[in-house]
Amino acid sequence: MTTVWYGLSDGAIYALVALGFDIILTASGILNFAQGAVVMFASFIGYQTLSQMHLPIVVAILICAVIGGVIGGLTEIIAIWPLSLGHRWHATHTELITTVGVATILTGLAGLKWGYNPLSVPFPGSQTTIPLLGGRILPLGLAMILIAIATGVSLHFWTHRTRVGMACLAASEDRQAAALRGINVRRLAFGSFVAAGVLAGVAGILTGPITYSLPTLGDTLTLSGFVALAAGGFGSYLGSIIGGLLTGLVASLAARSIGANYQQMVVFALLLCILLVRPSGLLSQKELRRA
Amino acid sequence: MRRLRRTASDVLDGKWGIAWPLLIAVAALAAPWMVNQFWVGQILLIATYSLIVSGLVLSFGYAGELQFAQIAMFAVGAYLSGILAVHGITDILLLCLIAGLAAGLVGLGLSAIALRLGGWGLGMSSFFLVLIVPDAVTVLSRWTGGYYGLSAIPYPRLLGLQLGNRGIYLFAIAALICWIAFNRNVVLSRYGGIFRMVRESPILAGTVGVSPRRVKIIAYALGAFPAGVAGTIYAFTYQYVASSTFSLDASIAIVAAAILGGSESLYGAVVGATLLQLGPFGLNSFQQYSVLIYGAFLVFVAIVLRSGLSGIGTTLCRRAARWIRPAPAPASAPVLVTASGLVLDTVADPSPPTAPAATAASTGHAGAEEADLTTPEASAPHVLAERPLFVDGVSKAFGGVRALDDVDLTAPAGAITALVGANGSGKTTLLNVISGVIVPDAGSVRLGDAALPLGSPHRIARLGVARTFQTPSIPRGMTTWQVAASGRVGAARVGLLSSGFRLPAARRAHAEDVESAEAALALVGLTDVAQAQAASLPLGSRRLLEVARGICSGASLFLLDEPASGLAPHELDRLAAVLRALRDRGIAVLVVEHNFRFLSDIAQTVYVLHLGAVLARGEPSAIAQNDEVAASYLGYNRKQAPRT
Repeated sequence: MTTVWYGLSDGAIYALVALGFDIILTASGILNFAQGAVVMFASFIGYQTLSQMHLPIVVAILICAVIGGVIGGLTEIIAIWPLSLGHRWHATHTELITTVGVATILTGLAGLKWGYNPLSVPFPGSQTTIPLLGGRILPLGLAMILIAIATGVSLHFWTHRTRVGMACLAASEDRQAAALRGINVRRLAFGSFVAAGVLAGVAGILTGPITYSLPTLGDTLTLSGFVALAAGGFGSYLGSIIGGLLTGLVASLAARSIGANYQQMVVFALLLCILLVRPSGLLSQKELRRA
Repeated sequence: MRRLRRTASDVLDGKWGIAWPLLIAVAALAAPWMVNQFWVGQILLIATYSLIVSGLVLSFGYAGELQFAQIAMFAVGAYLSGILAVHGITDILLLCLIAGLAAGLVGLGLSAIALRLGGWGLGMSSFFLVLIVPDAVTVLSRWTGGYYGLSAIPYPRLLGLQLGNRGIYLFAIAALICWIAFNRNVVLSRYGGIFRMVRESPILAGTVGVSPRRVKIIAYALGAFPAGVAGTIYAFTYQYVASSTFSLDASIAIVAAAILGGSESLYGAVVGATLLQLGPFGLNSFQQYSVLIYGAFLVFVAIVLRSGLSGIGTTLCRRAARWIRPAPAPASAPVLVTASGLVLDTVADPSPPTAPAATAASTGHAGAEEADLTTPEASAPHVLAERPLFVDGVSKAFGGVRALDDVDLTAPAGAITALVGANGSGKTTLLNVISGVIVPDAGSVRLGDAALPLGSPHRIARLGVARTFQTPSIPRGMTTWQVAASGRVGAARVGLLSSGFRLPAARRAHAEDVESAEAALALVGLTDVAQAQAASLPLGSRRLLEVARGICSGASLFLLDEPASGLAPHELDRLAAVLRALRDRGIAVLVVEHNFRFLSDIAQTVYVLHLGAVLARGEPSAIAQNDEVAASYLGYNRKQAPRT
C-alpha cells in the first residue's frame, strides 16, 4: 500500500503538469513542452528560497508562483506569439520546436546555477510518514494528491461556469470563430500561459521535497505529464487528474515489482498502449464538450 | 571577362546544380592524404552526424513530422553493430544494412502507433524513446556492457578486405554521398511533391490518391535508416559504445542542426552537422553554456530563419548572381522538362523567376486563346468506360444542423450535372461526402458498379474520382507542371525505393508524368506557365490547374467546387470548353456553381439543394422557371416580385 501512496503522490505531480498542458491547450490549442521545465525550475527556486535564504514557506510559494507566471508569459511572448506573424511554416510543429527550446534554456540555466547533482529541498510540514489505509505516506504527498484533485475539479467547473472559461472552450473549438464573436484570442492565450506558469511554479516548490531538484527533472515531468494528458484525453481537466494518478501508480508499481530501470520503459509502454487502444483518451474532448 | 562573369553568376545561381556538393565530396574523399589526423577525425564525425541529421530532411523537412528520436535510432545502430562485431560479424556493409533496417523498423513501429494521435503524438513519443535509451542499455547490460559501455569492438571488413582507420573514413564519406544522392533522387521525383502535399494539405493528398498517414510512416522509417548506418560507423570509429553518447541533449542538438542547416535542404544537414561539431559549442563540450545556446537556437531559428542557413545562402547567392550577370540575356522560352527529367537541380527553388512568369500567364492568355481552343477535341485520345455516379439516401448532421437530408442524385457518364443552392444548402458537404473527406451518417455512393469506400479519400481517388476545391489547393514550392502531374500519383504508383535509385520503372513513370502533364496543361491553356511556381499563379489559372491535375489522374468522375468563381470571361470560355471535352470523353462531371448562366450553357441536368434536401431537378431552362427554386435561391417569391 505504501507503494500505491508513493505512486499516487508522484502521480499528483504528473497530474499538475498535465493540468498546465490543459490550461494552455484549451485556450490556444498549443502543447507547451516547457511546462515540466517550469516545474523543475520552480523546485530550484524553492531550494534557493527555503534552504539558502530561509524565507517563510508562504513567501517562498508566492515567489515561485510569480516567477512561474513570468516564465509562462515570457514563453508566450518570445516563443509563441512571433509564430503567428507571417505565414505559418510547419503548421502544427513550430511551437513544439520553440517550446522545446524554452525547456532547454531553462534546463541549461538551472544546470549553470545549481549544477547537475540532485539537491534536496527542505520539507514544509512534518518529516515523518503517517499511516493511512494500511500504508504510510508523507503528509506532503497526501497534500499533493488533494491539491491536484482540487485544482483539476475547480478548473473544470471554472471553464464551464464562467465567461472567461467558456471563452477558452470557444477558442479551443475554433479560434477564428471565437475571435469573430469578440473574444480576444491573443489575450486569452497569453493569460493561459501565465496561469499555467503560476500553477507550475506552485507545483514546483511542492515537488522539490518529493523528488529532489535536478535539471533533467523537467523533461521527465513533461513526458510523464504528457502520458497523463494522453491517458485522460486532451483538454479534459478531470481526465488529467485520473491520467496523472494512473501514470504515477503504474510507474511506482513497475519500479517496485520489476525494477527501477524498467519504470520509464513501462510508462512509455503505457503511452503506446493508450495511443493504440484509445487515442482520444479516457475522458475525451467530446465528453468535455457535451458536459 | 563577360564570359567569366556569366559563368560565375551561373554557379552562384545554382545552374551548375551539383557542382558544389561534388567538389566538396571529392575534397572530403581526398582529405586523408591532405590534412592531419585531427581533421580527418573531425570530418569523420561531421559525416556521421550529417547522416543522422539528414534523416530528418525527409521526415521533418518534407513530410512535416517533427521527431526527436534520431539519436535513439543512432543508438540502435551503434549497439547492434557493436554487439554483432564483438560476436564475429564484422562486414561493415552487412552491418550497415542490418543497423539501418533495425532503426527503420523501430521508426516504423513508433510512427505507426504515435501518428494515431497526429500533431504532437510523434514528437512526444520520439522524445520519450530517447529518454529510455539509458534504461534499455542498463537492462540489456549482458550484451551492451551497461554502465561501463561496450568495448573491444574489432576493426571491420568490407567484402573480405580488412579496413583500417582510413578505410572506415572513406566508407563513411561514401555512405554519406550515397545517402544524399538517394535523398536527392527522392525529393526530385514525384515523392517530393507527395511529401509537400501531405505536409501542406492532407485533404488534398487524399483526393489525389495518397494516404497521408502511410506516407508519413514511410518517410519516418526511411529517415531512421541513415541514423542506424551512422551508428555502425560510430561503433567502428571509436571501437567503443557508451550510453552517455545518446542523451536528450544530443537529441536536441540534432534537431537544432537540422533546423539551422535548413530542414528542407539536402545539403543543409551537412552545414548543420559541421556547425554542430566545429562550432563554439561542439557536441563534445556539452555541459555549461552549450545547453543554453542550443535552447536559444531552437527558439531563434524556428522563428527567424525559417529556411535555415542554406536557405539564406541560396537567397544570397541568387542576389549575387543577379548582380554579377553581365547583360539581361534574352529570355529563352520556357521548356518543359525533358523526358530524362534531370533539368531541375536545386531543390529549394526549382523554378525560373516567378513574378514575370505569372504576369506572362495573364497577358499571354489572350494570345494563346484562339490557337488552343481547338485542342480539346483534338487531344481526346481515349473514351473511358462509362461509370455514372449514384448517390443514394445520403444524410449528414453536424450537431443539430442537418447539412444533408436523404439526398439522392445521379450524375450520368458523359454528361455535366450541376448542383446549385443557396449558401449553406449542403453542396460542398455533398462533394466532401462523395470524395471521402466527410463520413455520412447514412446512405451510400456508387461509381459504376463499385461502392465508394466512404471516409477514405485516397481509396476513393484511386477508384477514379478527382475533385477541385472552392479555394484552389496548390502546395507551395511546386511548379505548374509538377502540380498537374501530381494528379497521377494515386493512379500510376511508383515505389519510393524505385524513385530513390532511379530504376527504369521510375524513369518510365516520370516520362509519362511529363507527357500527361503536357497534354493536360495544353488542354486548359497553361502551357506557357508550365515552369512557373504554381502557388503564385493568378486565381483563374490555379482553378484551371486544379482541373488539369484531375485530368492527369485519368478519373472517370470529376467533382468541381465552384470552378467558375473569380474567373475572367476568357477563362470562363476556356473552362466551359474543357468541361465539354471531359464530357465527350465519357466522364461524369458534377459541378457546384453559383453562376447560373455558365451552367445553363453546359449542364444537362441541374439539382437544387435547399437546407440539405433536393428541392428540384431538371433541365437548366426548367429550373430557371421554377418558382420554389426562385424562392429558396433568390430569396423572394416570384408572385410577389418587387415591382420595378
